[in-house]
Amino acid sequence: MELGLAVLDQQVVDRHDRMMGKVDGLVLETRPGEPARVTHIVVGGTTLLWRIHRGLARWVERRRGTDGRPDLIPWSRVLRVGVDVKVDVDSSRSPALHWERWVRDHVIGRIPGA
Amino acid sequence: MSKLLEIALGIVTGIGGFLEAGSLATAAQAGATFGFQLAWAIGLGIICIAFLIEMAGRFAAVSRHTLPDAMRERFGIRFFLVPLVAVGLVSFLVLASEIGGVCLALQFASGIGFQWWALPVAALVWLFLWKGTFGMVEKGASLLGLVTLAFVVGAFRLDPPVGQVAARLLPSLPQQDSAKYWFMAVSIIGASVSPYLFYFYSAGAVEDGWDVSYLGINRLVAGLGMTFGGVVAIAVLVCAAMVLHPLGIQVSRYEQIPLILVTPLGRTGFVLFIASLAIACFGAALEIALQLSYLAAQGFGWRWGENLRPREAARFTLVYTVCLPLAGLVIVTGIDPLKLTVFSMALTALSLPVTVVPLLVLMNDPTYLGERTNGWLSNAAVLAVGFVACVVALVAIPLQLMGS
Amino acid sequence: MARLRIALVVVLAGCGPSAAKQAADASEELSSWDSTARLVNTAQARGAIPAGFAEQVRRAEAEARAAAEAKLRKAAVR
Repeated sequence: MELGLAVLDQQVVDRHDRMMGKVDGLVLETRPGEPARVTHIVVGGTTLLWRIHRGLARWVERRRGTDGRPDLIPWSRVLRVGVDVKVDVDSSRSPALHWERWVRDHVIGRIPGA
Repeated sequence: MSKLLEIALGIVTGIGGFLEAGSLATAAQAGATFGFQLAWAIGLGIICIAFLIEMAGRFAAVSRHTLPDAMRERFGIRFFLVPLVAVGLVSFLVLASEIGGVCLALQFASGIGFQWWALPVAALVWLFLWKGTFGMVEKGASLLGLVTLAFVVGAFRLDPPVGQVAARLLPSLPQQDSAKYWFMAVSIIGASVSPYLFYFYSAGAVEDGWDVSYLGINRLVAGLGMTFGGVVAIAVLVCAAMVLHPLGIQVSRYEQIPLILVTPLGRTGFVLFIASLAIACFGAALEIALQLSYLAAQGFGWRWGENLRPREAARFTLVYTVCLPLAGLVIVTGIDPLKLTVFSMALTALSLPVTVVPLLVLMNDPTYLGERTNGWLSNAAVLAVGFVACVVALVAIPLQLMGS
Repeated sequence: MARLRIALVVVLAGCGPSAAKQAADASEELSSWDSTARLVNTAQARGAIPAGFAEQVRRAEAEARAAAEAKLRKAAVR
């Protein structure tokens, strides 16, 4: 649990050491009589916005629909916690990078020489 | 590359990269209005930035984190937003000032008004970032920036009373025009202690893969690079003090500034001034635009790196792609570039506590730095300058606004 | 012209600190541009600056003078 909290806002890298975002949120599981456990780390989506301004986050989610969902990565897939958090995931398919891919395909990728 | 060569290159980069629109305009104005009297403000600014640069480099080398990355981690997203927005806004205004500087140099050379040059210059800066690598941006611009040594040559040619100049490195009170004096002092400090300088340096240390073995180099580069670079700014002040001050000329338009090199160096001085202004401001624009991208990308965890192809770091690239034309548009509006430059320097000074305190907290955190946290001197020097500059700016800026 | 400016400053000194300060600043600016014009003429005469640039300085001077003179008039009215 403490490790889970320490991991919040840390850089996340995938199994190939490519950057895929920050730990924007955590999913905790509470059971009666036992301390809370971190079950997932949450990367991307509007997770960060929820921590800044709830009203704005709600507004964005309503307009955006299901695109740009956050990636919920199970704690079991966390390989190492150090300078950054390495997870056993292939980021090229992760929803965490939805906006990165969108900007690449619709804006940056359209400019010659990208 | 051998360590000695790295040190030499680092110092030379510090010299060539020191002068830009802000330090040039503020030093010229101060020299013209108050003679040598404000030399101490440049000296104080140099000491402060040297400490900050050393810290930024040490932080990157030891913790292997960049500053925005560590700030988000350490302070959480809500507190991180404060320095993010402050540094972002101030840097954006400074970016516009630098573009303005290049445009004015081109106007002086061609006669075509500076507003026409704004978008082409912004586009050229963008193209260099789009196609270039980090090494090219950092080292290339700063090496070319050595042309600003022309001011040192000019200062020597004018045969200034060195004893008097040295004496003025100690702070003194103004005999008249207090509001203007303190406003200029604060602008000079803001010009020397721009946050983009140490954020960029920290990103560079990570891009270049610095580790603990670089700490010695870091200290030398920070100390000597900034000190020798500061000498160029002092040279500008001396030139203005020797050429404009005795004639009672106060700098209220950029067009008056080239005269400080024309008197000692004639036509060559005129050409060197234009080259210095254009190159120094262009180099600064490259660094600031990149720094804005680093700030966002490293704070939000996006892929980043100037050595990556644009499509490999799309959001990182998007930031400078959007900021540059916007900054260019500010200049297109025809706003007085000199006023914009001087005010953004004053605003930088005003925002120093917000931009510098998070760094200081990190520099004293053993989780990131182990045993290499700040000594009391580094903390004291930076805190003192930061808060004093802010307080003075709080008073001087409104007074200046009311007076003009 | 210089005498007129000095006269204005003396008269305005009685109008209150702010107006006098404005007038003094504007006056200083005008004499600063007088000196600038002389320096530019000398520099142009010895070929140190091209005619194009000298023209730009004169245009800047004209704009600055207009602003300073407007300030002087405003301060005189108060």
